[in-house]
Amino acid sequence: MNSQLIQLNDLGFSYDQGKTETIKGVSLDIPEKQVTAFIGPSGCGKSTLLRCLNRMNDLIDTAKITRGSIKILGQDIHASDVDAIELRKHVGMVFQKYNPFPKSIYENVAYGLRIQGIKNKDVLDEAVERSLKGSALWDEVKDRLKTSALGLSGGQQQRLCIARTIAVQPKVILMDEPCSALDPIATAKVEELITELREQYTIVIVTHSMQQASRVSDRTAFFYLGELIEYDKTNTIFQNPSQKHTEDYISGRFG
Amino acid sequence: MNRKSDLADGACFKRKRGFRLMGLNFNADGIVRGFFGGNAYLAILFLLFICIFLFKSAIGFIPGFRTELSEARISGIEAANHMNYQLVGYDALYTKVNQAFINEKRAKFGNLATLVPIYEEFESIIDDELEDKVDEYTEMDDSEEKQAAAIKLTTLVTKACGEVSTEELLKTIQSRLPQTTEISDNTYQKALQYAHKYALNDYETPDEINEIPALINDQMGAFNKAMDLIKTSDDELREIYQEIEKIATKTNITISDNRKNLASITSLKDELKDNANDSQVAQAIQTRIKELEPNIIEIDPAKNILPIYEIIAKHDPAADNMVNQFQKGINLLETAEITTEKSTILIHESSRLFQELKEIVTERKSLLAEWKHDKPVTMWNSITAFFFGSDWKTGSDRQSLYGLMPLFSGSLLISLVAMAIAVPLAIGAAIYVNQFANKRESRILKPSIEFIQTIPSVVLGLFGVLVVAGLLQGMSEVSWLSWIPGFPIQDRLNVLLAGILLAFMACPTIFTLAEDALNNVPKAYSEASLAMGANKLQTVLKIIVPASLSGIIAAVMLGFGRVIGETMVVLLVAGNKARIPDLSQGVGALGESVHTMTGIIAQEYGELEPGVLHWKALFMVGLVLFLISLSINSICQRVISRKTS
Repeated sequence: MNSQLIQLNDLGFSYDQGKTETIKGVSLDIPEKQVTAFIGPSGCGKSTLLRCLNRMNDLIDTAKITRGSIKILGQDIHASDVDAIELRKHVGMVFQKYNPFPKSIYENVAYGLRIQGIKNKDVLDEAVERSLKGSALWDEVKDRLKTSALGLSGGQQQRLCIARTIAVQPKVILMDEPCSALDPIATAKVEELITELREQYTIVIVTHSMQQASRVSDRTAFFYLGELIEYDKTNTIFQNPSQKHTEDYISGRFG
Repeated sequence: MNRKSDLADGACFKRKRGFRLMGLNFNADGIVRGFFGGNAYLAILFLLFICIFLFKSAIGFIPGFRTELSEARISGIEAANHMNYQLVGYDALYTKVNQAFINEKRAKFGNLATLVPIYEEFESIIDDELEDKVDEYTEMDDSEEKQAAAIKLTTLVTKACGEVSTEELLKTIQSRLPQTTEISDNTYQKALQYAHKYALNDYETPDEINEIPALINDQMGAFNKAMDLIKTSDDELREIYQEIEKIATKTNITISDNRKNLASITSLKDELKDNANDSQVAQAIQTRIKELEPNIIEIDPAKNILPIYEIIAKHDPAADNMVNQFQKGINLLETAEITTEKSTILIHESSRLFQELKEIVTERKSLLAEWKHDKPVTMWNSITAFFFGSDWKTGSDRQSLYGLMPLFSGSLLISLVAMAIAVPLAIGAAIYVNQFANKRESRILKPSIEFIQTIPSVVLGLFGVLVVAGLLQGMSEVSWLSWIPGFPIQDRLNVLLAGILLAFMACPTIFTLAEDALNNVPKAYSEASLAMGANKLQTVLKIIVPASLSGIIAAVMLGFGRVIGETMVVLLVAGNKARIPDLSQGVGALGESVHTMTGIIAQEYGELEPGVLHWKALFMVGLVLFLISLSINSICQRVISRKTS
C-alpha cells in the first residue's frame, strides 16, 4: 500500500456544476516511481483526470468534484486545509504545447525556485544546472543560458519545460500529451528522458499514441466515456487485455 | 460547345474580360482593389495636406519675428525690457514681503488695532445719547452722591453700547480695517472700559487709546523700517524705466509704421506699373502714394537713439541702489521679531526670491552693458527667442513676445501630473479586470471604464471648473491636510486640477490598450506558472505583466499623446496664465495657473486676422505640437513592433 502514491477512490468530476459528469466514478492507484499512462479516445476524460491531480481544474469556475476522493501520499487533496498552490509545488505538470515563459533559459528553470522565495545565486545556479542536466538539455544550452527560451527548437522547449518542472523536485510529474506537438526525433528524445526520470519521479502521462504508451509506461489505464475500462501492467494491457473494448481500441478497430 | 469541351481546351481558365474606359482596363477585382486602396491612401494624403498646411502657415513666422525683434532692438524696447524684467521680479518679491508684513501686523496687534474703532464707536454713542447724563454727572459736587451716580452712569453706558449688535459693530470696523473677521470678547470689554472712563472723565479720551497707534508702530519698528526701505527701493529704477519706455515705444511705433507704409507704397508702385495704360487709375494711385510718403519719418539718432544710451548709463547705479536698499530691508526683516509661522515661511521665501532678483539684476546689467541698438538680429536669435523664450505676451501695444517655454512647460507639467495619476490607476484597473475580476464584474467594469471616453471633453471641463476646482481648493485649505506638500494651493484653476481631469480622460485609453496587451498574453503562460505553484499575484507580476510590457508601454505612450493634445479641458481648467511654473518651490508649483500649447491656439486664434505675426506664431505652436504627437506615435509603433518581431 505504501508504494501507492496516488489513490483515486470513486472519483466523479463535472465541468458544469454537476449537471453532467465528465469522469464517472474512477478508482485507481498509481504506484510510486513508475510511469503510468492514460490512454483512450478523445473526450474520454483522461486529460481532465490528469488535471484533477494537481487541481488545475480549480481555475474553471464551474468545475466541481461530484463524488469520491483523490489522495496523494495519503492526504485528501480536496480537504479544506489543503492549499492548491502548495499542492502544485509537489505535483508538477508538463503541457501538451510546450510553453516556456518569454524569459531567458536560466530564468525559466529558476522560476519555480524564485517564486518560493529563493534568492541565493549559488542555490539557483546549482538547481538550474542540475535540472537542465536532468532533462538532458545542459550540453545544448549551457553556453546560452541568458538567451531567450523562445529561441530554442520545439523539442528543446518541451525539455526545458520538463527541466522547469523538475527544478522544484516535485513528487509527481503530470504530462499531458507531451510529445503531440513534436517531430519524431524530438519525441524520441523526450521519451528517452521520461524513461530516465522514472528513477526519481512518479510520472503520469496522457498520450494518444499507443506505441508511446507501450514504450515508456509501466502501467496503463484505458478510459472510455469517462469510465476506467481497464487498468493493468502495460504488457498485460497491450498483449492480453481482459476487456473487448480495450482490445478493439488498441488494435485500432475504433477510436 | 458544352462545358466539358471548354475544360478540355482550357478556355475556362482565361481571365474574364472587364470593360475599358479612358484607356484603362477595368474589371471587378481591379475596382474593388482601387476602392479600398483609395480609402487607405486618402488617409495618407490627408496627413500630407495637414503637414503642408501647417508648414506653410507657420513658415513666415521666424523671419517675421526676426523683423519685430530687430525693430525692438533699434528702438530700445529691448533695453527697456531688460529693466522691466528686474521690476517684475521686484514686484513679485514685494508682494511676498508685504503679505508677511500684513500677516505679522495682524497677528501681533490685531486685537489692539480693532480696539480703537470699537472704542470710537462707543464714544460717538455716548456723545449722541448720553450727553445730558454725562453733563449732569460732571457738574455734581457731592462725592457720595457722585459715587452712586458713577455706578448708574456706567450701567447706562454699558446698556447704550450693548444696543449696537455685534454684526453692526463688525461692519463698522470692517469699513476701516477690512481684514477684521471677528471681535473678541476681551477686546469688547476693554473698549467698554475705556468708554466708561471717557464718560466719567468729562469727554476725555483715555491715554491708553491715544497711545495705541504709536504703540503698534513702535512694536513693529524694525518691520516698519524694513518696509519703508523696501517700498522705495525700486523708485529710481522705475523712473528711468518709464523714461526709456516712453522714448522706445514712440520710436518703435514709428519704425513699424514706416515698415507698413513702405510695404503699401511698394505694392502701390507695382499696381501703378500694371495700370500704366489707364491714366485715371494711375492718377489715383499716384495721389495715394503721395499721401503715404510724408508718413515715413526718418529716425533721428540724436533724438531717438542717443537718449536711450544716456538712460542706460543711469541704469547700473539705479539697479545697484535697488538691490542694496532691498538688502538692507531684508537684513532688518531677519532681525525683526517674527511671531507666526506663516510670516516666517513668507520671509524665508522672500529671501529666496531676493537671491533670484539679485541674479536677474546681474544678468540684465551685463546684457545692458553689451546692448547696442544696431547689432543685427540673426535668424538664429529669432529661432531661439521662440523656442526658449520665457514670455508669451501678446495683445498689448508693446512689442509682442512669442516664447514657447511657458506654454511647453505648462503642457508638459500637466501631462506629467495626468500620467502620474492615470498610469497606476488605469494599469491597476486593467490588471484587475483581466486577471482577478470574475465574469460578471468585468462585464460591468470594462464598459463603464470605456464609457468615460464618450464624455465630451467640454462637459468634463465644465465639471472641473464648477465642481472639482472648488472641492480641490476646499480640501487644500483643510488644516489637517496641510501636511500634503503644495497645500494650500495658490490658484483655483491650476496644474493639479487639469492633471486630475486629464488623467480621468486618459484612463480609458490606457486601460483599454493595456487590457488588450494583457489579454494577448497566451493563457499557456499563466497556466504554466500556476502549475509551478505560483499564486495569482506572482503569476501576474512575474509572468503576465513582463510578457505584455511592450503593449503596456505603448498604451501609456498613447495615453500621453492624448493628454498632451487635449484642448478643451485644459482651456477651461488650467487657468490660462502664460508663465513658467516656479519649480523652485517644489510641489507647490502644481498649484499654479499655467497655459498650454493647445489652449493658447484655441483661445487666441479666433481673434486674429489671418497672416499677422501672432497668427503665424500660433501655427508654429501647432507645428511643435504636431511634431511631439508624431514622435510619440512613432515611438509607440517601434515599441509594438519590437514585441512582434
